[in-house]
Amino acid sequence: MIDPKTAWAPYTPSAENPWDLRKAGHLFRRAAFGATATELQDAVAAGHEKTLDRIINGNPESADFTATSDFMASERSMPAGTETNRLAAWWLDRMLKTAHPLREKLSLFWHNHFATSNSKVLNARYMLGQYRPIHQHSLGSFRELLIAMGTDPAMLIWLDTTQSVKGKPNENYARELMELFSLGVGHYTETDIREAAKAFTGYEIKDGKGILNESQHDTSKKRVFGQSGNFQGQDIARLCLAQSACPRFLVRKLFAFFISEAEMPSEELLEPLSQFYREVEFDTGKLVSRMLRSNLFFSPNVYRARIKSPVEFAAGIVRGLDGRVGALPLAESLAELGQVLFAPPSVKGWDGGPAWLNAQTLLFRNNLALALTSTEDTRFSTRCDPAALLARHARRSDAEIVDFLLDLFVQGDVPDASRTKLLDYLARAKQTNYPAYWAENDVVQHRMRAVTHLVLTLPEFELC
Amino acid sequence: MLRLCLLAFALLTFTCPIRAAEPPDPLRLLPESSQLILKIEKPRQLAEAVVSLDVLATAQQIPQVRAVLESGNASRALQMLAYFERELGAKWPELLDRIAGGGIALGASLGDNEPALLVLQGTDANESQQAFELLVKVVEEELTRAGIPIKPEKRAYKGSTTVKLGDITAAQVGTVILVSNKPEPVHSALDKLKSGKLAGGALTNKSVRDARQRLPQNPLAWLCVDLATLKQSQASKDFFDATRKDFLQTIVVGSSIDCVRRSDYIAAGLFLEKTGFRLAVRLPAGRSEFPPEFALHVPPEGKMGSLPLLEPAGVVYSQSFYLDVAFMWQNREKLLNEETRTGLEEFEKQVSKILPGSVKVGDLIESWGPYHRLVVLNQEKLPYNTEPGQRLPGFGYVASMRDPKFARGLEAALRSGGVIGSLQYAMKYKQETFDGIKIVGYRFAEGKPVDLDPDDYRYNFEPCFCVVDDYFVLASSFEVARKLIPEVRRTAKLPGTPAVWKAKAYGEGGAELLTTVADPLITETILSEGIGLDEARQQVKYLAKYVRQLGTIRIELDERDTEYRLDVVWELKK
Repeated sequence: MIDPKTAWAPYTPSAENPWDLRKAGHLFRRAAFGATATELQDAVAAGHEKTLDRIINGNPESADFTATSDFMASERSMPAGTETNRLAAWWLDRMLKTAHPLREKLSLFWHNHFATSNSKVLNARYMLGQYRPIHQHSLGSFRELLIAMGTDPAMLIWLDTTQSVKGKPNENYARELMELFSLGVGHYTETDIREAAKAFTGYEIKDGKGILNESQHDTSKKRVFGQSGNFQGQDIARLCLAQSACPRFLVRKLFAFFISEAEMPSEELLEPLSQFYREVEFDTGKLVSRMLRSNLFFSPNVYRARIKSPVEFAAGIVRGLDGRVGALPLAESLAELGQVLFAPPSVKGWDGGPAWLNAQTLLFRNNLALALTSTEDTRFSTRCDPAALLARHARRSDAEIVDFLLDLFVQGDVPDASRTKLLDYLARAKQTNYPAYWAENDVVQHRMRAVTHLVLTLPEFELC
Repeated sequence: MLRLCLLAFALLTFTCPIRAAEPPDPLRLLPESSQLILKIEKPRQLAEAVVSLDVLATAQQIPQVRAVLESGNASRALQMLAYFERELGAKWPELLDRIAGGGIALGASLGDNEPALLVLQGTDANESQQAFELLVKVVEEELTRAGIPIKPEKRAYKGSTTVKLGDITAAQVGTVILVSNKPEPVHSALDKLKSGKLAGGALTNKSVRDARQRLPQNPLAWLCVDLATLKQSQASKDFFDATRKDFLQTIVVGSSIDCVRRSDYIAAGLFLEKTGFRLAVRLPAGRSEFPPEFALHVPPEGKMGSLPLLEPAGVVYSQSFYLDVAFMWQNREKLLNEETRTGLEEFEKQVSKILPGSVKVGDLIESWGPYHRLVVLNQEKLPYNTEPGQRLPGFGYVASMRDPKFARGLEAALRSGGVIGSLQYAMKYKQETFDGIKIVGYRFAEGKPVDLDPDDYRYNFEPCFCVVDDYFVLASSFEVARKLIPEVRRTAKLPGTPAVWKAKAYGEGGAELLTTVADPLITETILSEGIGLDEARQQVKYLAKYVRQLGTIRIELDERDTEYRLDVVWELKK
């Protein structure tokens, strides 16, 4: 039973509830895209406060990271007609290499919140343009982010605002602004939407930027949420932000993203956070910091209470194995798993949760894990080799190998029976007759790769 | 005395050079009815020719290639090779000679699940046996390792032993190794081997014999596809009918398909030449039996097939071909189906609306010459101050003219187009004289976004045209036109060739192009390999260097009286 009074108080390690590998792993899964063995070990050694500071504040990006990412995002490298897979790969590359994974993770959250797809926008420049404010404000002001979305070229096309002109307002953006971006169903009326839609007339794209064309804008007085005025788009965003439902709506979504999607949190549980979000003027960084540092975040109730999205699943393997794989083949694989970045399926984003898993996507997840770990798939080759990782960490005996992998990927959080089965597999594999031309080292490495694949197919690894 | 005689005989026997008997031809063991025959005459020579290529060695340094070679499967394949060498006590070229020195032949019937037989004709029975047994053992071990429940089954067949492994049946007898997807071809080959006959099988197939004779001497490998039976199928008939009725296909590949239609086989061979490799394709059908309307593809008797290729500085790709558009226009009633004719008439009406009153579409086409040349080349400078979103190479088209009115008509038409362009895209007229030739063109206005071109590709182009003697030149930029003018004049003095279609791709130009359009390639490299910018830049530089080494690839199509010849020639850079 969660006690709302203590849920959001800062977690303090104790003998009964220590800071350990499980909690470090939990933090890296939720607030990053998994961790390497070294990161996990360092986190346990550094203690929870330092680790949380490191995760929340991040490290400065390296010059190579910035130069590489900026180069790829240039117009010459990614012109407007760039395929969505390439765009997705660009972002995945950032997720895999960033020194501040939480910022990218929040960017992913906001991308799903303001779900915009290149399948309709058909302009990679606009999609990259939308990523910029999302990334910039991901841990900053939601207020500014919401206002920025109102004139974002990709959003203007996605929700048909460019077709909304004086006398013929299009209600799409006004509706989604209230229903999906700020308030949720039940906190606005159809009249509010109709009136707000007039405020979003006359927006168009000029020289790649969203601007207001006064001549097409409805300058009449509008009445929204009981207030009247000659509102423009940003005014409607501010009116939404002023509604008490707004912080509650956002906190609930962030709760599902960071804490648990397994249960519906009570209003009472969320209220302290909603109040806090308003007090800090929608500073998402402060809100997320409070959530991640809380008792509830580190409580057993929310442990593995989310299903990994395909991005979390794939990036978790690559980061865990200290791999250096190409993001393009990875992005192509993610399409099979049901998640194409920059192309969410609808304005509501990805359903997430249990919808990520079905017989087919589970099979594809297993296949991807095999492709990444076998070194036999030329898309990834030896760039993500478990045998090399185990050699670097000097794990040689069967027990060392199994324990290292279980610690790395599931923090030992599996039933004894699973561990025994993995050890049995390694023992059986030793009895297998390998082709005579295989060198002894080939056999050893093959066993290591195969058992890594088995670990990645454990049900526990599907959970975040 | 007797002892001396015996000693002399023994010395003669062991010291005189005796020519070892040539191994029998593996084609004898393939079914006579095989529709596809592939033979590698000298496997060792072919393998060594490929392996010794400098470009292959250099390719292994390309990170993308290296990644493939380092992958589990590739490295295991190399290990397996090393294992065979170790177990059989010789390096692979020597092993290849012993196991398949008499040639490798594949015969198959075309279609799903049709039988196919692979024959390796060796020179050393002992070696063939060891290799075969080792291969069966390795495959068995691989299957066991992979947990596939298939075991090799040894079966007796008329005193011989075959090995069945899933759907595959194999056998080794003497110096011969047989592998098939069905038991019957192996059994049949075993029967032939037992009979001791050195003839028969695919050797008696007339198409195979003819195909081999039609190809030049000493191929590394050659192929024959027996079309006689294939053409009997309804699907083949439908294909030829559909192609004949399709306007575009008739224009592009009509004559080639007609030659295939009339041929009983296709012969192709791979040859090692002093400067590289040649792939020669031959069909026993030529222009002499073309229907009259196919005159659009081939010149009249005594006329050259195509003009020399244009090879200006920075050339990436060049093409020259014969296509008599005027003939097609004059014979459109016979050549085109009703639907296409109607479409063409509609097109004529629409184009006439924008043409100046003095220009008629029909006159324009009828004065268009039959010799066409295309060229793609690198540009030294961008035509505008504004950088295009992506740099593209320049290109040009040069047409021969039957009558100067072609140039006058087309010039008028292009000027009309230019006027429309200047209204829609704010294009500006530009004119300059180069080497006594007036070049006329249009430039896009800078700083004015065009919705249809958000990536600013238009800043690669300033479309222009000029007339050089009897040729009309259309170019993507003034720089291209300036490069083409002397090239058109130079090639006008050279003789043409009988080939009616030829093209050439240039490694040097390709490398330069890679350097010019490096950004997307660098990005592709980063995203494919997960590396950083500096490393990716180095890799793309390396790739450009590699492409430069590739030399040129030339394709020539010569439709002779009774023979169709297609040659692909790879000339390696010295």
